[in-house]
Amino acid sequence: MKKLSKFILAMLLGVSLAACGGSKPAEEPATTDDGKETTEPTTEAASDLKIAYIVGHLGDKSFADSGQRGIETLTGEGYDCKTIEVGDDASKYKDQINDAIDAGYNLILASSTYFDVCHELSEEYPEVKFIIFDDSKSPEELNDNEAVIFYAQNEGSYLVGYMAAAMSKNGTVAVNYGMANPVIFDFVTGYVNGVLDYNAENGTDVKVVSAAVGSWSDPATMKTICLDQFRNNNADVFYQVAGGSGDGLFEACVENGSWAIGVDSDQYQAYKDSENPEKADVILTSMLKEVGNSFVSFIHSIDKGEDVWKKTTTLGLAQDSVGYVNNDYFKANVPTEVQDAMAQAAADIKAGKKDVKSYFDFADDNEFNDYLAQAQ
Amino acid sequence: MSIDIVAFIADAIKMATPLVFAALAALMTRHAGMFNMGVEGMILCSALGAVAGAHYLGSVWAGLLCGILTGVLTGFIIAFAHLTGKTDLYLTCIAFNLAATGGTVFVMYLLTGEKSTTSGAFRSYQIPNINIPIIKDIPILGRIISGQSLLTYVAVFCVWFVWFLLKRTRVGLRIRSVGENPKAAESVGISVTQIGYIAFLFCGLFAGLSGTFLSMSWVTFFMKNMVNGRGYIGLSAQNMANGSPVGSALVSLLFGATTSIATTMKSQSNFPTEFLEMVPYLATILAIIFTSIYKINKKRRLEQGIK
Repeated sequence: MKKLSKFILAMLLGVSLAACGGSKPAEEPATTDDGKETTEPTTEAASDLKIAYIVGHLGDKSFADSGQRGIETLTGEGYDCKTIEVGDDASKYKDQINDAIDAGYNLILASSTYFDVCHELSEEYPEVKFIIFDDSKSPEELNDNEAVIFYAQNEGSYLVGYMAAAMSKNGTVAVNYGMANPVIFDFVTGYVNGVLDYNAENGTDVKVVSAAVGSWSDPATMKTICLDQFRNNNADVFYQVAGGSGDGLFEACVENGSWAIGVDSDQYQAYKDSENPEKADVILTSMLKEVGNSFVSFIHSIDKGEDVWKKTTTLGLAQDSVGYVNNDYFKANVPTEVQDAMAQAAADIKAGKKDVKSYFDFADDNEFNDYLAQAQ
Repeated sequence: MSIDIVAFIADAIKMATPLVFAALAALMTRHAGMFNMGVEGMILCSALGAVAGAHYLGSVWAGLLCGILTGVLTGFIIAFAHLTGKTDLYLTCIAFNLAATGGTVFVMYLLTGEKSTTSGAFRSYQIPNINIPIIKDIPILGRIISGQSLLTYVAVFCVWFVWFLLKRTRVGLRIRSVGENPKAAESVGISVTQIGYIAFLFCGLFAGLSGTFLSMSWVTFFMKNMVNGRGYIGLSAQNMANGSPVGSALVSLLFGATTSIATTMKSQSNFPTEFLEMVPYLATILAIIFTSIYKINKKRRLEQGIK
């Protein structure tokens, strides 16, 4: 009996260990396949770019997965690409990126989360190129082998903010985000700008209420926040910039029959294709941030020999890197004049005739808060 | 803007429900002399078990049952390691919680191919909210007491049930005697191991209900890490109440109310969010300090009285 119980205990331990390790299978360094390849001397020719895409976890159905689609397109075009899921443990980021460099990857593609690590490594490895996306840095902060991609999320958010103001019956719209950071505040700024411009054009007084969930994976709190805003502020159009927590926003909208706006990818389509298609019917449109497309066009421009290094490249409406979903459901539910106004505003922004406020324009957070107060 | 106080109180009760279950779960093992930190991981596993059961068996009640079974099963794993395998309970619980964080994502990935949430891959089922016939028409009270989730009413029943079990039944007496003095209990022929398993059985039952409430009532899907520390808060709630079921429920309600205040303030004020997120935890620490001071004073008065 004692032997048996010991055996079972050992089995249990084994299973729990397997479960521990199994959840992040891609965390293993990239050396297994390519470890024995020697690093070839780097030249700027297309075929020599070996791209490592650094991402926390795939499977978020938005930001990281959009990037992954870009990587798949590049792989299809003959680039040697590898996606490395580095997980949430910041102390392991550097080692894993180092492993990728040792395995011969000479172009590291990573989001702003990994900027500090990449900046350190860019000094150690001047021959390796680093592209940081979703960030904004001045040239003095960068080394010669670093490039930064910035998405004009404020432009896309402006358009959905304009639409939200037009669709609101009660005169209050909401934007709820996961956690406060400059990029997220840029979404909020654009959204508020859209609402304010709608008010100015139509003589209305639509208010904006916003809140932070405090986590990217707490849909329960998000749902409560939205129900609270519906009750106390009469908010009836909700825009989520909250990653996983955003699913709670859609549930709240289903419950009280208000409109939702998705983010990053087409969330209407994602729900329509899922087991719960009825949840899609609250999503009027989604603000798109085409991370994947931007990878492809950016890598192509590098191959063409464009100088992107040591600076921040802004990709916005004009580069088709942000936008909104213009599907049949959107067309059926949003009045034609609002659709036209949105298209017109998009054209104006593309042509440079209209300037959208950005969080990065503000000198400090007080100025940002004052701006938000205009719509409160 | 006008804050709807009645809805706010109703919200506080809703937010307290998973905490009440978590507190009851921790309370059962506490009375058997085991401080079970694994409640957090058990709730997380149950939340996933519930939505998976509901999806594959196609019924909300099957989901509830699977949630409870997952809770009981995970409780059994900890109990087996600790009681039969003689491992250290704290280390086992820490290992279990870490394994649950990764393990739930792993199982979710195996079942659905998703790594973040089951909101798309699993059909959503919701445990119904109950409108109580006559009470729902009473002006203010009706909106607070009626219309809550079925599991909220179950939680109220469970508080009474645990009190009854511990104070009025033979099993309860044995659980308490094992907790207070295992050697003495053993000397009169009570199997400490067996009583430990029984305590973990009830612990698993309540952890299962807590997880099911999170993933099938509050929201209707599982998301990685969705418990977000609620198990630990339940654990400290029963600790503050000194293991009393009714006291634990009241303390949980206090946490529910502070969380509800923080959530409302996020939209209705310009307080920094970071500060508001701290409020429930700050309330926890303050409450622990005050109860501790009260206990120390009481002890001192007793000692002085004896002398």
